[in-house]
Amino acid sequence: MPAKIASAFAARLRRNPQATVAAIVRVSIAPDEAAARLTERGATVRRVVRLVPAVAVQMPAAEFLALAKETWVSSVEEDKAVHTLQT
Amino acid sequence: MQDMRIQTELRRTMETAPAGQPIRVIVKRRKEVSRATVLHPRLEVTRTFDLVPATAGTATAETIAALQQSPDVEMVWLDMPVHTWLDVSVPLIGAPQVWAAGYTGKGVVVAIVDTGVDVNHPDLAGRVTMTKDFSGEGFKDNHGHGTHVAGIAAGNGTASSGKYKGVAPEATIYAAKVLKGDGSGLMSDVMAGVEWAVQQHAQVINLSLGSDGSCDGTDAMSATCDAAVDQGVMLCVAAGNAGPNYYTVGSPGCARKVLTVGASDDNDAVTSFSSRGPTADKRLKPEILFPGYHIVACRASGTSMGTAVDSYYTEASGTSMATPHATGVCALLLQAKPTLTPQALKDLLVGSAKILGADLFTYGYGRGDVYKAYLGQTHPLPPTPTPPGEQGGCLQAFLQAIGLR
Repeated sequence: MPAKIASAFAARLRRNPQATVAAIVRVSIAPDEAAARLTERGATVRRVVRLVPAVAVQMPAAEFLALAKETWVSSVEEDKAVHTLQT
Repeated sequence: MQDMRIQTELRRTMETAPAGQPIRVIVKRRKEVSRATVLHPRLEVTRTFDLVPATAGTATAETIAALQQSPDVEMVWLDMPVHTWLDVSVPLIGAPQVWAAGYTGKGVVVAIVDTGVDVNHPDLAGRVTMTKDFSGEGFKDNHGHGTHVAGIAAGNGTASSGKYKGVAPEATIYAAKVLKGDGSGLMSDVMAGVEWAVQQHAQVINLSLGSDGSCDGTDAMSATCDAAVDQGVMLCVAAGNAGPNYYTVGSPGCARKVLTVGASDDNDAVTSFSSRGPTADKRLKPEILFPGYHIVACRASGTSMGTAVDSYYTEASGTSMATPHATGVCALLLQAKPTLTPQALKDLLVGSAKILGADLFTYGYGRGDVYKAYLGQTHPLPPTPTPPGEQGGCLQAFLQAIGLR
């Protein structure tokens, strides 16, 4: 079974557990319910996306490591930067 | 008399260039002077020609002044930039023939998920009917990229008397601003923008954006794009500008179900910057190329992206510019054949593309041709080759490593 957090991202989270990190949490429950649970854990919810479903949040790195143990969390990945593609 | 051997435009450039700045020139040799003749030791030669006896290179103004006095030199010209105008790329892909058949994208909704769109640009005014800001900056396009992209896909050329008409000049435009004025954003904002476009019933979504690094299509942004396709929406996504190395298609270009677009030029050559496949999980991407080199299209008011042509148009290159050609093409085809599913549309486009080369990870299935797609003139697709670096794919990886690709 694949890890819920990719090893490189997990290592970054462990290196600086107090840092506030932006991540996308994919969930197996209704995303609005997931957003509520994440807010209770102290997360700042940025986006709720129903298509996947996922919740984009910001919270301390260590919290994501704990979050990965929840059965309703499918994966946690970094909310990476994107950019325009003109040269 | 000696001055007559310097072109007027070159003389002006020499007068304004800083001392010592190299200027690109083409030096016409006298007929009897061989291509091997050293015209001036400080002329840095880049190319020599025989059809016209000429030598191209760079030289300072001082060197040019000396060159025009040489008995071997007949004339010195400025080597000026050339451009692929939108009025070249749009006919190249067969759009005018589809317009002539009665299809201009009218009634089809294309969503530009980008830096915003200048809703007052004459080429777009009145057709940007829904907008939403996800950047937190307000909807205005402070960058210019989204407006340029929208112009390629659906501009009507009003500010240029039709010269810079886009691919689907009567399509309806929705726009989600997910990237800030510096051209950057977060994956989650793109996901939200895509979801919004789906909820508003857009039929085609353009994503001329991406993240760095190879990907396998399992990330959340790629998954959102695939989910949008599952809802019946066609997604056209830029492959990235990290070419020419293999394995350089980023997210969401690696999403399985989207049409991933690389960039060609007006000679149907793939651009060096166009990202090559395969994906990290060895799938074939990009699937198709469209023109994306020196494309002139709408300029957002007050912006400086690209090289400005005038106050309404600017020129830019990238898979960002190739992708809205695909988006506009999809709009034309959906007007003509409204029941096409995203997969059927993708199959039609790749099956009718002009084959550019055997290396599918570089060229995809070729350069898109909307008229052939409209006529249903498809051909069997070649089999997917072995990915570079795998058995049988080693030759391609080797050729790349020694610079022969």
